[in-house]
Amino acid sequence: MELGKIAIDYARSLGADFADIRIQRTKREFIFVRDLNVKRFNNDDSYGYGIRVFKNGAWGFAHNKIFTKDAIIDTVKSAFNIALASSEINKNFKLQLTPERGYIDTYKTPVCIDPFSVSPKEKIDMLLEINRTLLSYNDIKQARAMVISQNDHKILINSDGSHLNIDTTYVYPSYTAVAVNSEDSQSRSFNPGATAAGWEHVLDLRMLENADRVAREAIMKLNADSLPGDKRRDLVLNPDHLALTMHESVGHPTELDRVLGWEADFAGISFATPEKLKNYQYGAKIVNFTANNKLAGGMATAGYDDDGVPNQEWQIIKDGILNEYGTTRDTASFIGQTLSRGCNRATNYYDMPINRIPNLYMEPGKEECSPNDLISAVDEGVMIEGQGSFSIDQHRINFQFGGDMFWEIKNGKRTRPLKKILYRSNNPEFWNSVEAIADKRFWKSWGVNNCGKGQPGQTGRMTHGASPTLFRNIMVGGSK
Amino acid sequence: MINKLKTTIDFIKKNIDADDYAIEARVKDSLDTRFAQNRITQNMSGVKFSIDVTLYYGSKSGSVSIDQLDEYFILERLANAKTIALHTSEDKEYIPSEGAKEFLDYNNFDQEIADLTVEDHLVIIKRCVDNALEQDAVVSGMVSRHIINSFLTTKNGFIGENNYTIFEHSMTIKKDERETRVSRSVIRKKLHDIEAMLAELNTNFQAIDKANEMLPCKIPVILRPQAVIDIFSFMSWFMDRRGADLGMTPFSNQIGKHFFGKDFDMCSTLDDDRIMRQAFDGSGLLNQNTEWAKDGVLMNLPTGKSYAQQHDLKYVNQPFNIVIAGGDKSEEDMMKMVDEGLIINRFWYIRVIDGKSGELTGLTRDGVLYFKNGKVEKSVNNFRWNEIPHDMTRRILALGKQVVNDTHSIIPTMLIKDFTLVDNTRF
Repeated sequence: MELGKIAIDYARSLGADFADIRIQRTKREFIFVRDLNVKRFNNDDSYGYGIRVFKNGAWGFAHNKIFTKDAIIDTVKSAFNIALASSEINKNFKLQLTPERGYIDTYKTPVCIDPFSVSPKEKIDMLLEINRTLLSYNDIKQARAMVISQNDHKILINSDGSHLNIDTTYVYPSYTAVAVNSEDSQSRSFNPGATAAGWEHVLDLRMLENADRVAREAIMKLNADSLPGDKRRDLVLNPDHLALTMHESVGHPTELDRVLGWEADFAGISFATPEKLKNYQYGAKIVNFTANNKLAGGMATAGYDDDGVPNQEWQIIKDGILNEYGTTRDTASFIGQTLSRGCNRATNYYDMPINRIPNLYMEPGKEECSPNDLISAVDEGVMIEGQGSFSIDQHRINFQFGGDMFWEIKNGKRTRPLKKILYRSNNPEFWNSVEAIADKRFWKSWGVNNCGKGQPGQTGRMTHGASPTLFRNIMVGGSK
Repeated sequence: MINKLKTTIDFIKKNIDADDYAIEARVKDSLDTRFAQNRITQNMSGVKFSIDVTLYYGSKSGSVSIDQLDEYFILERLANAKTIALHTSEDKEYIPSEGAKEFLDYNNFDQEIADLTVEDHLVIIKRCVDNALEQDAVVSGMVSRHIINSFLTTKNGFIGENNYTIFEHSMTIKKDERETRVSRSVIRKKLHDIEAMLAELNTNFQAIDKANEMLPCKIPVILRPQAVIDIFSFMSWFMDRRGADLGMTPFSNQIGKHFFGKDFDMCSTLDDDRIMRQAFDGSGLLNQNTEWAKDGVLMNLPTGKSYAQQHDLKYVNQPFNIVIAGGDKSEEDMMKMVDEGLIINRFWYIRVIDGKSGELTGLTRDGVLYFKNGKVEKSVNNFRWNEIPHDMTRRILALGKQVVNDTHSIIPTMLIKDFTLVDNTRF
């Protein structure tokens, strides 16, 4: 694109050490239906460009949405001047970029049915029918359903010679039934996570067919007991629950910017510091975490990151040992790495890319093992499905999680539903308590579309995955 | 820029045939500088704008955002909104857009903030870095200035404009295991005093030593203003009349009752110019001074206009700012009122555990001090807590003087009896 070339040429003429322009158009559709009323049908469209200039060990970033030669020149000038001014503060603490070659390439999420081509009526009818099914039960007092469809088209041109044309699409449907009686209120959700795909994925989810089960489980949960007191118990955690636990307790602690203290003032830092690389027992020996930004359907799968680094596959935890981090071009060199793993991503054109969790999943067990095998190995424990309350400290050590549905396990059998269950643990206790992981037949992914990080805040996207997993002897109890 | 968008809105109005509409234009000019480990890691500048258009055909609606100003693009987006509206289903709770109103023009704009440059940010950051280096420590933080203009108009004649500025400065100082943080967010630059912030930061930093291990328990806590607003702003998010009436929250059937402790007063006010005052909300409904709790009695819950009409209730605005009544006790006074306790600077990662009971969880952050016999004895590890905020207000033992905590809150320090710590951070 001519304007992109103008930006890079002008940045070079000013003396930039590195420069890029990311031209991005984001289309986002959000539909929300509550109690048979269409409360929101919104179609957002944002279009603009962000320019980064690196000079004397410092970044400058400026954004604009006016596509004229003069506006682009002004924006480059602004980014350059910010970098130059910042470099005065950084003169004794310079940033460094790992080298990368230029790429000329395109990437497009495989999409069979463009979600923006599906009629509003078809989408609304589906959400209304789900509402009707949920509300057909007297104890269901509120029904909510939503679907998000998003497309991002980016053109990234940089001074390394890259010219990348990246087009990603994702869909994210979900719904919730809230059951209420005179004593309590409990909800149950159908929440498959977000997936990089087209509308065909929504159709494959059989959302309506699940609505009856979701309503019944919400009522079951409303009338269930909790557990008396805190006690060490075993846990069988399903993939749709584990996704969030691994996101918070493995994904964020292994973002190199946190490890380096760059998020000390806001999102927090990490206990998983560089001297622990290759020797720290993060989890049991059967625990292996793979980062894979080439994962089909992965929310972070885009061909390249916003540094122009190709998507890769590597191991974050290998045989239980902390093996590597998710890195960017401006963080990797601080731990002696010569290449970035390609984890720098921005949400909108006006956001500067930041170190993000890649698609990150736990490998399934290598031995043949089913969820029933896990349950039959438990004398006293709880099985948890879906996501609820979640909270972790700013060093990513101490965490407490709830869930969406809980089942008591007694003497090797799933016995009754429970409610208000919480488990508490610390890294490294939790991941070292893994005793068994179901095999690959039971592995499922779960995509995140709203990982909050950065100032100003951005919402990152990545996919996690796991097979059901047995954890031994974790502090589990009911809330008050 | 806002004037250019107003011209665009005139064009939009001429090209829509909807029964009703609401159009909101927003311009945000920001300069954000992040620093970490004594260096600048991100330094960002730019102006972004958009026009949000909601068209109503009967009780059906479609919304689009417009962020390119050429006429072809605008017409395409308007057609998109109309298509959505005509093909969607009705919202039986639809209410017509707001009509013309008179309201006061609160001044939330500060030219001194608007005039801040990159160079001004760097002077502040250099002072922070030099202060850290003097203590052989590292500092991380953020300096931001925002100039925001918004303009709302409706088919029924509402016209309103909000222009405001925000300046934010935060910093976390760290050396080995010792870390603490001070932050300010202000609508007037004169409320930002960097030397006072550094003095507070250094005092806190010097009070913190290696975190001694302490087991979780129920214990008196002195919550500094940031910790207090962390909890009560979270609680305010699920203060809602609809949810209460459905039986989904702890506020069900509690209006007019002693739901909180008798020493707890909380309100939203348009009378204090040290914090943000906005005359109307995003749909043109006027904000009013609102008491949420008075002498422990739950006075009001936010009530949407359509819900209010359906149920013959009065409309009640959202908590557009939060003011909690204070007292006259200092931290020193509070430490003498109990045998032992903790001083908590700030909370982190608060989440709902149980929406019905209102139970929350969270963690301490940025320095926890243990005191005994009226004096700080040592710093201790961070804790996880599980608490019910309204229940906690029944255990208020003392209140400190109010301070302007940020752009939206005026908050005292609180001494709370038997705060429920359920776990400690250990590694």
